[in-house]
Amino acid sequence: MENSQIALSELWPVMKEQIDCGKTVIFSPNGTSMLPLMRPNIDRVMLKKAPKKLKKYDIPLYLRDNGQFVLHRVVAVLEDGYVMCGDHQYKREYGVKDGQILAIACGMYKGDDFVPFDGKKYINYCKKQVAKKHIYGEYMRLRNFAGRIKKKLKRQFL
Amino acid sequence: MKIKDGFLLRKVADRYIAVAVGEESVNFNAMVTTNETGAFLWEKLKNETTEEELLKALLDEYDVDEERAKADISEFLEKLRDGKLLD
Repeated sequence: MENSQIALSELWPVMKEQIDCGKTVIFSPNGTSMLPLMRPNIDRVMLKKAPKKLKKYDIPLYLRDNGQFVLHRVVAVLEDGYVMCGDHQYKREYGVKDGQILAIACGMYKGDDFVPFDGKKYINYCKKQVAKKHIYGEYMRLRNFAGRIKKKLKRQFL
Repeated sequence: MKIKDGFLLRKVADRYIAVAVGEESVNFNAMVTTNETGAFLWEKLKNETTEEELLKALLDEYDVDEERAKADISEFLEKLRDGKLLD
């Protein structure tokens, strides 16, 4: 018997069984896309059954079409689906549907401290983080656009 | 001896995982994994049992010599004790 890292895709059926019974499940995400909030293999996230509809700032666990399990934040709710983005990313993922949502994070352990995801302090963090990343994303988009124009002009005049 | 209450063993792909099940939460962060033989012993340890009874059950179930079976049981029990999974 040993402690072991098992892919979330393998663990999910067992986790789902518990969530469907009304329990919450705790696990350590190993990606970096939700930094600084979730440190990989250090912080522990608590998941519960997702509501029928998500709202802005929720962090659902969802399944991409390629079979990848993802824990990212809802940054907007549009008619054609949710817009997702990791706290450590600026590129947004569009069109995530309700059918892809597996569970929702309701809090996390940072060391021994539990951070509930409905607390005022946490909601303020979400608002700041999402606004900051949106501004950075727009800056990067403009910078890339300017870079492409510069390249085009160079090709034409040199 | 027996497995403490509040643990759940489930097959995941080609191995078994044991997780602590609380009243409201299941902690997959503190899970431990084992193989088919470990899962067999785990089933026996759900009820009060002795090392001798485990040995007999293992020898009845698997084509293994006594010395090897004793060593496997001893190693498995030691790890359960280390993980504080045994009553």
